[in-house]
Amino acid sequence: MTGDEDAVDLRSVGELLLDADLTSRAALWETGPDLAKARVRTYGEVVEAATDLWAAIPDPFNDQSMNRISSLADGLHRTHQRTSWPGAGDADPHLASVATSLARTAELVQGRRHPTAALSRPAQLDAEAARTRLMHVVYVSAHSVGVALNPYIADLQRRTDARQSIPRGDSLTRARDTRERIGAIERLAGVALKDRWPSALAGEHRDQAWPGRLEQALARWDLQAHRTLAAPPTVSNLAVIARLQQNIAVATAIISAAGANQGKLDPATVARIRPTLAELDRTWDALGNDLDALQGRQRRRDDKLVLAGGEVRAALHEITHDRTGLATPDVMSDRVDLQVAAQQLHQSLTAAVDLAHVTRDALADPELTVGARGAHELAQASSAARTQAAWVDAGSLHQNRDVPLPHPVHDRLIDRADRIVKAAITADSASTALRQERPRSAQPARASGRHHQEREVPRATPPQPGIGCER
Amino acid sequence: MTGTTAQAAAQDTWREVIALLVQAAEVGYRDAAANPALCSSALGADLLSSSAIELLPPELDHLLDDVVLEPRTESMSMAELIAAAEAATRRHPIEELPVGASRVIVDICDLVRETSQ
Repeated sequence: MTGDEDAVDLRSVGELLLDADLTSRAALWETGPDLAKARVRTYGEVVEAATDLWAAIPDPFNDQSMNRISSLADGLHRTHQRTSWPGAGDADPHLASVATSLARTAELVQGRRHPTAALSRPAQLDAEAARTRLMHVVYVSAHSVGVALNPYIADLQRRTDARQSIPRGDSLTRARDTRERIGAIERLAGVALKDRWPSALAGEHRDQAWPGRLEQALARWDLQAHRTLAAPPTVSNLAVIARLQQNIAVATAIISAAGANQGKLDPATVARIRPTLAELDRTWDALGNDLDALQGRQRRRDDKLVLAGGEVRAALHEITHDRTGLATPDVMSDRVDLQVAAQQLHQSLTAAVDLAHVTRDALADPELTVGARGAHELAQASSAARTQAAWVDAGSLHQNRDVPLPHPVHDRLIDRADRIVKAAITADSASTALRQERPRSAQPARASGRHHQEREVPRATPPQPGIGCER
Repeated sequence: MTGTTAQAAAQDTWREVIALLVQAAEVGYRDAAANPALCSSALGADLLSSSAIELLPPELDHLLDDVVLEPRTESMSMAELIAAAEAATRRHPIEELPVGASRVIVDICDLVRETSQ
């Protein structure tokens, strides 16, 4: 771990395990003879920490897989002590980090769980998922040792073949022996994972939805989408925006319906909004389908846009979904305040009107190019009744080069965008009533430490925006 | 197989993973018209394909056009296509796949979990 040694590691069990898993995989990309001895030295610590954690995780079936691995690692450690190879020296930073994360995880699990407490079904599944990820860490870490030992052995073999001396402290025999024995550990871990990875991770516990996550994710998305479209537009970025906006429209309908079901929102208002959201979904979907078809070689997307979109998706998914389908309104209601979530989403519809306009402008940009094959197909589909003209030259078509928008495709995309703008304005207008709804489950105000603010005399006029901020 | 050949083969597989994710997204968006619950996972596959593309050299983007998926994938559901993408990542040791593949594979595993319970 880096940073202040006194700093408290606030990561959860799940975060620590995932970090150990990713760090062990990162070790696989660093290979070379110089890393071998440090990695062999440190692998014992990984197994020791993993064994402690395995023992701390409740297991009704008393799976002995890790104990067998621990026995092999102990035997290897005794051999290393006896033979003084690899000897004292630095630890491998990746595996040291893995061992530290696992040790911290063991502390957390040991500290929270009563040794004889019965486990609920979700807790059993979570425990099984944790054991699976832990075994995967041991498996990948063992592989990383082998990956480092291979060039080390090859290097020493080359020296031996050339009758050169082997550097002091190195040993071809010991290295080969270690590779065999760590290979056996890897195989044992692989067998233990065979029917578990990644299916057993399905039971991994997920934290409750964080109330502010959705609002922040929507705000960041709106900002990032505008920033991305301020640069020269690309079909791939426009396609992400279309799909994300479609997703927001779908989720808004789902959460609003759940809110009405739970008595958090006025059912009549929600019923009025539903068709406008369905139309918004359809119009973004239609544009998304066209843009998907038009993606040529410019498949790369703004990574910040993808990141912001991923956060919105995750924030919505943790509210609306349960396993492979939609969560019930009861379950959604347990996760978040549905009225607040619905209002945040309906507020984002106002911002979506502007984004729809900006999207239209981007589609009208004369510099926008599209994949030749998609352009040809869409142009044919859009203009087949009028003409049989070739809209894309044969060379571009063959190479699927990026080409300017053919007229029929341009007109088609602008028509799609116009429909989106219209649908966005209608949905925004329809949801005005919902945004102004007062909390339905609000408790009567009680005396609290906020008297001073509550007694503050309202300003006669609202504060005016500063120069340059008027909008 | 030499290291360079193995890595070139792994890059081919990675392009196949991307193609499977793109197809999963297309199927998901198509089926979401009847089942809105699919829209979120389709978007997940779509965004993940972007993250996967980022790991490849930009000068080889045109090779993505040449990926031909097995005919049996045409009848697959979104969940099956995502599972096929995850299965494809297992064909190579992780160190042969592009740097950063771990994070994408973990996210694909999450998506498999989301869509196939």
